[in-house]
Amino acid sequence: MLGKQVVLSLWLGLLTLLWSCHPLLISQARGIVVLALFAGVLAGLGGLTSVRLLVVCSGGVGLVNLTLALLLTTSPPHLWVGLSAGLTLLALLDGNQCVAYLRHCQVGPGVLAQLFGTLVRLSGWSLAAGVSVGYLVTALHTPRIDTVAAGYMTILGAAVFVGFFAAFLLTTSRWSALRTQDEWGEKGG
Amino acid sequence: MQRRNAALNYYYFILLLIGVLLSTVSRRLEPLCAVLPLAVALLYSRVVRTTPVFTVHCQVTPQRVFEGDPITVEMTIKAETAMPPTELWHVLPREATCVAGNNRVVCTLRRGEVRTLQHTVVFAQRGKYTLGRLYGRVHPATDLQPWLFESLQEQVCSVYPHIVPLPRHLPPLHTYASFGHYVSPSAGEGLEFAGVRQYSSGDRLRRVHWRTSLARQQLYVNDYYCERNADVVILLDTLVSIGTERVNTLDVAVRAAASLAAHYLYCKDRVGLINYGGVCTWVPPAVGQLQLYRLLDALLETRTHFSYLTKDVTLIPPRVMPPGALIFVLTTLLEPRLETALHDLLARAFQLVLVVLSPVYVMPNRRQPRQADAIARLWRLEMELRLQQFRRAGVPVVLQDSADPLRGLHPAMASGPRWRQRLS
Repeated sequence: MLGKQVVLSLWLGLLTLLWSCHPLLISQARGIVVLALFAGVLAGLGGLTSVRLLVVCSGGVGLVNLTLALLLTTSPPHLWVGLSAGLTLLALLDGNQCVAYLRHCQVGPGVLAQLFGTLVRLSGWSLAAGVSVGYLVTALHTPRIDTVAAGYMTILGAAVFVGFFAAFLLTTSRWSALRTQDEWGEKGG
Repeated sequence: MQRRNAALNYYYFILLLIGVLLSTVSRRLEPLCAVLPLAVALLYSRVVRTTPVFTVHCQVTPQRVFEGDPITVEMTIKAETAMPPTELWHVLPREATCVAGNNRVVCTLRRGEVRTLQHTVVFAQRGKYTLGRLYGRVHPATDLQPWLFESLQEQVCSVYPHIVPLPRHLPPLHTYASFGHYVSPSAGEGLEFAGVRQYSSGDRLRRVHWRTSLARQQLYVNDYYCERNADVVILLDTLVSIGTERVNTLDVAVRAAASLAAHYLYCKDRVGLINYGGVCTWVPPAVGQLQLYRLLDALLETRTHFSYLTKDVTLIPPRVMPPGALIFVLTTLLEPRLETALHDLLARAFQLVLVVLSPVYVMPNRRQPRQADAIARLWRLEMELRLQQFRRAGVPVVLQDSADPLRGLHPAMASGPRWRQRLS
């Protein structure tokens, strides 16, 4: 039991460290360091108190920090930086969710392997999707196009993507269930 | 079974929006790539939709225990399909402690596999508790849309008060002719051999002592001592209870009552119970194992009922308080109304034994020993003063001076003038 707790805590700690330090790979400006520290503290607090909203806030702060670091350094587009940050963020959020219930439970054999397998599978799909998006963006890139028109197209594309994605989630989810409070939260689970 | 969206769906979607927004504003690809795994996870949870098929069974044994005895709970899962990580939670009452195993388990099962998970629960306080409420959560693929289920196989467990055996028997002063452990000096129906006498008309043939009859050439029969037993009534003061929800004087009194009842029923005496409070309830005296469970069931329900109205003890029917019965009064004596009832009982020539429970042993401030000692001394002084009248009337009085209120019972009874002869 103690060993399990230690392993889970180490795993979460490692992911928190990786996530918060990610923007520091690009820039070590004072503002970036402060924001990285803030993101790390938020994720750490979220992990310790099992308040997942803090981890999500850490994710938001980390994303802003990453974007700022990229803008400050004006580095060329780097697909792998984004993807590795994304995979770390996914593992952090998923890990916090799993640890929230695993720490109260007796874990049977094969459970951790199965959870880890799912994470690996998702990472594989994410890598494939990331590479596809990278190819698509590179293929669509035409230097002769008007900058203003490209900006409008980007905004439009983003809006269409978000809209379609939200519509898909809406149709596949039971929103009535989404609105009701999770009973497990009430029971302390 | 119901599929529910976890709160994580919202969080993923919010982060996805932030990533897309940052990517659009900064015209960089990296923020979009950073939230791409979250989008993939959301899509994956919608696309991979397996419905697990399984059955859950819960068995609780035994369903009648004493305080501190272990109760084993077995949860059996039979999987018809392969089961992803499944969380099974047996919800325990607040008073329960899981001493072995765990009441929350996560496991995976192969198709057709049956797994039995076991844990042991202990209750430190009497009462009727409902066990067998199982809640489960199946986590298919991601944790975004778990299946929730509940299986209410409720089984009521009766946790009886802990019984402490009395170190010595305390025989009642008045007994009456019936089967029991007390042997009368006069001959009669019984099992204890008294001697051999000449046959007289009406004697049973089965009582003929053949060896003596053959030797003396006259019929002789066995003679036996008459057996007797007594009526014992336990009067429980339920007007006031002091202490916390977990440790209070009422629970201490109930445990003492259960111990007394078990002891006297073992000695084949008739034992009854009166809960004297705002609502007065009773169990008429009777003998046997069944009566013990009747009394224990009554003690399970014992609660404090404060009321400005108290029932007069004279209204309690004589079949509940037979004349000459030995009455053990378990009280804190904090409610002066009980004193009136005690005087009434004394006037009716009942054999009273007063066990006064100390609030010191249930007070929460026992971390400061000096303060607790001072409280104990003050309480004792006050009680000694109030109990003088009962001592003068020859009533054995036990003032609780340890966690077990019945520890001083024998010395207190032996010091009384009436009991000294019987106990010697």
